[in-house]
Amino acid sequence: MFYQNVKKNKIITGIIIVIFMLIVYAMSYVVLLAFDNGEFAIIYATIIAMATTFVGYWFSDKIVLATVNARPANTEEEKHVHDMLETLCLAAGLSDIPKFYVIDSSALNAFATGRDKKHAIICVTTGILKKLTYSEMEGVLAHELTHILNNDMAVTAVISVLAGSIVIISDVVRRSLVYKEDNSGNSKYKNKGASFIIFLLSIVLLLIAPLIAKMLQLFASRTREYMADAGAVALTRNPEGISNALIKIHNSPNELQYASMSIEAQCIAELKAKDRERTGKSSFWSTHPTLEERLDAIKNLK
Amino acid sequence: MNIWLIIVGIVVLLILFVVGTYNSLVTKRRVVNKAWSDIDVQLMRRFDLIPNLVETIKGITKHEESVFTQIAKYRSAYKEAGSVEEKQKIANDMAKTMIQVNAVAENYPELKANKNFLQLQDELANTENKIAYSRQYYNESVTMYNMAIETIPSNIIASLFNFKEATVFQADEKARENVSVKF
Repeated sequence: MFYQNVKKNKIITGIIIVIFMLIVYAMSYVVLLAFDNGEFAIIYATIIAMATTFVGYWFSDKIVLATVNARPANTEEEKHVHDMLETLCLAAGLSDIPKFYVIDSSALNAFATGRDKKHAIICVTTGILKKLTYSEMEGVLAHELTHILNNDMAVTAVISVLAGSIVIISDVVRRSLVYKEDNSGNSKYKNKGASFIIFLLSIVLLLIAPLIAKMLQLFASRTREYMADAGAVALTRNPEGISNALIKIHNSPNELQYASMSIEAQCIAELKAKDRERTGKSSFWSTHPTLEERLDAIKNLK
Repeated sequence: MNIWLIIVGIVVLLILFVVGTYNSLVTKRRVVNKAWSDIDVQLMRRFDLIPNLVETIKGITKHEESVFTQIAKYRSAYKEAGSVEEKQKIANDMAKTMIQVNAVAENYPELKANKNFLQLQDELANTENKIAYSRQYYNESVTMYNMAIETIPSNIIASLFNFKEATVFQADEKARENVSVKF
């Protein structure tokens, strides 16, 4: 069944979240061991990070719409595409049809956002509306609809809170280390050996953790893209639609203006043309798999 | 004392299992019903669109009465049908007749210039599409529900509380291919 791969990807996302939590926990533990006042700074910083991410997530629909200059669909042709979306919602059993917006841009892109199924929006560019055929457009809409069905906004928010707190913790550790070194004469540690090990551990965590965090975050993002492509095939029962759409999108040199990189993970393809041109295996630092990888994955869906 | 504790534990686990399974079966059945009502809306829409289409054609084609009366019959039969199975059968018969209607239209090139007719045809195509997609979802939810009814251990609860299998809504593909239109 189609859902075999989706299940695997769901598990991968779950594992990533657990690894993140473990890293956060381990770092907090080391910090608590090593420093006397560090914990308060970390708690404050983490609360702030969580609050900002939460606000971003909760109002994601409004924030994104305001930044990308999107408008509700109004022309006859755009209403036709909205109808396609309604039809796909029937196939997905989704009773709340996402709001449909259009960006006037020659770029070929589309994204979905919103905190949950009730507040979801799908946004497409006029460029993509012009260039894609019926079945290709259906594939794109089904891809975005799958992001909504899989609650990718919430998953992304959770992961970015965790990744964010790892960065903050390592930052706090770095500052505290500098501070501690300045006062090395007054060190409170009774056991020099233990303090040295803690010091080394802190350094390692400090250097590696943020990198690992970012890598895992991007890995999760690529996983969710594969899931959305698989979902597009499951909803439309037409692998060619989404495949041909992806080829057209990747071959277009036009870029979406005014779009911040923060929505890239929700988009159907990377925002920058040079990122989309990448071939072969995707790097650790890309939000999306390469075109080749995605087409292969669609071909191998069982 | 210990034996009683174990017995109580087993009873509690059993109750949890029964309640949990029962609830999940109810949820699955509700999804099936909801999915059916989605199709129902679209099928009704198809029936409501067709009289308009027939009106448009009628002015131009005089001798196709039998097809049109047939459609009217299906329409009232569908509205009166009680069970989902009955409705599915009528909908499939209707789909066959629809092909005939389209064939009738093919015989009259002047219809191609009729704006009203083209718009109705477009709307019908749209509805057909929606029927196909909602059928897909309905059949998926029926499969999930039936699987729960048939597999161990949920089948025990299903038979205990009289959960009945739902029918998959099969499109009559073979009949579609073999339809022959004679006028």
